[in-house]
Amino acid sequence: MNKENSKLSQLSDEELIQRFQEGDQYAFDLIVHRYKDALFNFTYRYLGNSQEAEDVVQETFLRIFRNRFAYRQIAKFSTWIYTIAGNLAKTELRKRKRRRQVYTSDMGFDDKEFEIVDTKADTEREVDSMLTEKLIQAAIDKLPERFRKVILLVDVQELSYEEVSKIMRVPLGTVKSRVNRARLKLQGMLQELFDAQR
Amino acid sequence: MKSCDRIKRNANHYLDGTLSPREKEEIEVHLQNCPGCAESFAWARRSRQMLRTLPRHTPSSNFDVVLHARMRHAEYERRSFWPLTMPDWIWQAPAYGAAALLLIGAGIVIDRQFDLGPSHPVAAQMTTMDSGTAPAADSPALEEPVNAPVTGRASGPAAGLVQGRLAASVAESAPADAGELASARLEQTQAQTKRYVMQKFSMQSLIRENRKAIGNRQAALEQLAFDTMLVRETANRSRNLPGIRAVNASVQF
Repeated sequence: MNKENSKLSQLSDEELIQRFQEGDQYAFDLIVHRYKDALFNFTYRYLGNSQEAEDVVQETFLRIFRNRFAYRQIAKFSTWIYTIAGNLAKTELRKRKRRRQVYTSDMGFDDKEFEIVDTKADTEREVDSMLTEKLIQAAIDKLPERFRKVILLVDVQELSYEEVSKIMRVPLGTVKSRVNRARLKLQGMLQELFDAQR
Repeated sequence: MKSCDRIKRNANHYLDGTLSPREKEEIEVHLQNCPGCAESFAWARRSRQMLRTLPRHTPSSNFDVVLHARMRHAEYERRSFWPLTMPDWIWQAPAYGAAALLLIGAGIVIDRQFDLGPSHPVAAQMTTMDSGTAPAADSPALEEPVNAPVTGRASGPAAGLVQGRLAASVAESAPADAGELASARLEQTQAQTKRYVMQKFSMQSLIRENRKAIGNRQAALEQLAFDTMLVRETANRSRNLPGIRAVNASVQF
């Protein structure tokens, strides 16, 4: 990485998108590098399917690539990108409901998780954490869409209430009350699922 | 019971630390005397912790490759869209303009090189050969014979000047047909320049056509690479399906 590139990596998201608008392709690559994991994790938890999540994240970056000039610095870049990803994920969820398609990996498993086989102790721990994750993902999947998005943004992605309010375009008070209701609902479901496992 | 519901509803506000000191104290007193609510609070704390520590999933290793292929495709589509509405030469007009200016500039330079000023010995000779006089209308030299000898006998100050120069040029051993030679050379150079310009334009159009063909082939190749990657990925996923089904079947809720 040369000096210019390392200087670029210290810029804020907003400065990077501005550089990209001016034609700097490397600035866009840095944005992808900064956000791909976080967006994937968010869409994966929202949709519960890795292939669909990857498609949504790809589409999010492509939309930003195509509509780079639509971004104005009045909004935070992370708000903009999460809004696009959230809307695309929501559309994907609706499409899936229409298709009535059932994926074998819907419950949170995918290929990668079966490739890791180390020692016996590791395997046991892996299975335990996999089961816990599966239970949590099952509870998230059961949440109504409006609760699911808000709880993932606040409790999993750890975004502020203010930012979530902008992403979801609802008042701050609504976000707070939705988060509270979503947490209570999720906590109740998790308690039931874990009790059933005992 | 009503009090317990209210306390449980405030569990997350309590954990967030957004309650007033009075409300906080009220909850703490209640929890000391109510094991049910205490368990509920412990569970709320635990589930929040579980959400925060959920494994972070990352996209597949070929995410960047696929994204870059799609970006290139999007860029190609965007570029190939405009020529449908705008003729190709519109985009190349500035380049053609610059080339035309360059040619005009080159023409001027060539012209100047062969534009023999009156002080040039050959020009002086040519002038004398053509008219035998200096170009002054009211000059007495007009009365002199048109075909004056090379050595010149023109009268008047201008003619004298020409004669002087001519003598000098002859002294420098300029041949008698130097003017014809210069003119032939000029014609030759002009013809050569014209040939070069024609060749340049035909080469440019050839380059344009080749560029278009290369662009089309590149896009087709990128699409093919992208499709191949998708097919390979689908094949990989389908190979693992039995394993996924077996594990899913073994995990019951």
